[in-house]
Amino acid sequence: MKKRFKEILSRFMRFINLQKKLNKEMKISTLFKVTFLSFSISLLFTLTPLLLITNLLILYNLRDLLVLLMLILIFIGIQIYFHYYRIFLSRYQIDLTKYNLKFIIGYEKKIVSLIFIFFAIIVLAVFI
Amino acid sequence: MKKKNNEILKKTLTILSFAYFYLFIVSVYPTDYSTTLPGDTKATEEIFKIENYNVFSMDTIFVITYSPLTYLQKSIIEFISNDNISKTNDFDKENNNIERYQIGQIQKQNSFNKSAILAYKKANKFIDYSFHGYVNLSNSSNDIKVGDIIRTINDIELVEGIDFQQFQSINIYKIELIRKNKMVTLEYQNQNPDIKLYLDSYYEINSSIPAISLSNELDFIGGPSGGLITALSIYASLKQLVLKYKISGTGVISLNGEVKPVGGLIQKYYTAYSNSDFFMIPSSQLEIFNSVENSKIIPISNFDEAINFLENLK
Repeated sequence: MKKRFKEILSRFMRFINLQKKLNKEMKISTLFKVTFLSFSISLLFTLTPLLLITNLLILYNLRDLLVLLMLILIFIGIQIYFHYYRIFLSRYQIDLTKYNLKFIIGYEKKIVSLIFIFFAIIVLAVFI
Repeated sequence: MKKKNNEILKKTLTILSFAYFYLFIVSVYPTDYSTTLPGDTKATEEIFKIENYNVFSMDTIFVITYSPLTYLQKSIIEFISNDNISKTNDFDKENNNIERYQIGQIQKQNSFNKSAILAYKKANKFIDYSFHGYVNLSNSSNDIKVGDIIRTINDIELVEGIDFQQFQSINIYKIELIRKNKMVTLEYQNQNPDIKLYLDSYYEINSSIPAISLSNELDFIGGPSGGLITALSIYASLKQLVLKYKISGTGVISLNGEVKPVGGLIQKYYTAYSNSDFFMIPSSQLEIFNSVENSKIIPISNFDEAINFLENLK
């Protein structure tokens, strides 16, 4: 248990250190460009299915299922966002590839996903 | 071979993107139609609490109204049942979803107050209440907001049951109203004939024995149509009636006990009929059920009739 905890802590410290270095070297224009592009692609994939689900919410009996589907779609949207974030980051600022982008972005993805799952559980508890 | 496959993939994606775009449009573009669909029932024991009394629970019904519908929603509802679609009415056109929600909440609170006053009086219990004026439930005017309680017009105090015809020929109004617990005076010019205020008499309960309170947990339900069943449930609770029947129903109630018509009655009936022994409706809307033969339907014209029905079930 102690060993596992140490491992988690060391991974977190490694992430923080790498993130700090990455933030120092990343240009602000790259940040905006990459965020905008990956967000747009993520939206492109998920917006229409989300709208379809929102439209179907008129069927009150399916409400619980639709809310669940909506949360799953947002979760998928987060995964798509971070996937393209890494791709665009290495494309627009090639010098950043010297850092372990797979680890840094992957760790960020895990944190955001965990926060979202926590939020989703609250939403489901309210609805179902 | 790989190049050919890539070309096929590109063509397929292009065609699919059109379908994707089409779906986007039909799920966003609004139509001129609205719908009322069956919702769910809510037990009155979840709606209010009476101090030291067990609530005699009955079922109120809520239906869900969507306005305006998107093309996709319209197609889905047409596929299920064509009867549920109607052209958007003036009230839905004038008010957006947030305003309709606000209006629904005001109507619910006011209807609950009226129900409680009526039921306490009929059950010979103490209730102290006051008439505050007329609450505005329309957004057609820029000056008078939804929820404003009008106290006087041109220095004439608005008393219960006042005849509003006397104000129709006047073009300039001096109005005193309560907005968010503050007194506001405004000069209001009725230059636009499209402005129609929808006013409802507004009562507040100051104190009652036993104390009664409305639950805030059911904020998503609004409107006055639960009035009849709420009043009957309060009355039955105060009289400590014990009945083995499950009673549900709908109807707007006024302070003199008159039961007024409601919207979406058929949808409300289909929401509740399978789980109830008796379903109360305003008697003025009985003709809607001509095609439905059902001994569960009880037409009610005033609150005394509803009480008699309940007493006879004992």
